[in-house]
Amino acid sequence: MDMIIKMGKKTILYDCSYEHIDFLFSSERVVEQKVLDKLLSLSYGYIWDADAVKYVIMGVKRILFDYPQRMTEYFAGKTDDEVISFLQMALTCLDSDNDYYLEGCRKLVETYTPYSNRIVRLLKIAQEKAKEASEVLVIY
Amino acid sequence: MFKFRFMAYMIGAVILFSSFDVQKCADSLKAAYDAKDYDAYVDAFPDKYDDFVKVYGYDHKNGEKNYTI
Repeated sequence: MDMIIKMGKKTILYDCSYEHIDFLFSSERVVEQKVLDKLLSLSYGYIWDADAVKYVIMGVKRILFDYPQRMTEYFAGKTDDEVISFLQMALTCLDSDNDYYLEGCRKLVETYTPYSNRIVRLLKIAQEKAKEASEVLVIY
Repeated sequence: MFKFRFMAYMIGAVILFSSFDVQKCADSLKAAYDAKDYDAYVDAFPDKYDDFVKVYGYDHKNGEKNYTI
């Protein structure tokens, strides 16, 4: 009987969504190929749809800031479109005109300038695309 | 006629095997998180945006505590 009740019950996935999603980003293993590939796959069509979306954005931004060397190596094996998609996910924002957001974008460009001109170029494209997506969201 | 039926079976099979099981994914994520099993958590983590929002987004949409659907 208990089993039947249990089968019909919905499971509580997490008490604190930030803590739960942050688990993915809490390990240095987050920059392993399989995790980055999963995040890249997740980035396609990434928009602001729920609170949890923001927590992934925060985690991806942390990766970009904390592991520029590794990310440069990872992006070297990816097409421009793939890199833009990944970066756009990190730059997705509800308010892309605020100073804090723009400062973050500027710091990312600064971080990658010594590593790769290509990534700097793609960061600027991704920022524009993220801004366009944000404008669509505001209209919606 | 046979061709049509075969195509219908094939489409049905693709839909069946490609459909995302939200509850199964949520259960796997919870088990991995509770056990602090990073590999299992990564394996269970959705890799498509729509699936991700199905698993993690509903607390926001329903304004209630974080239940899976």
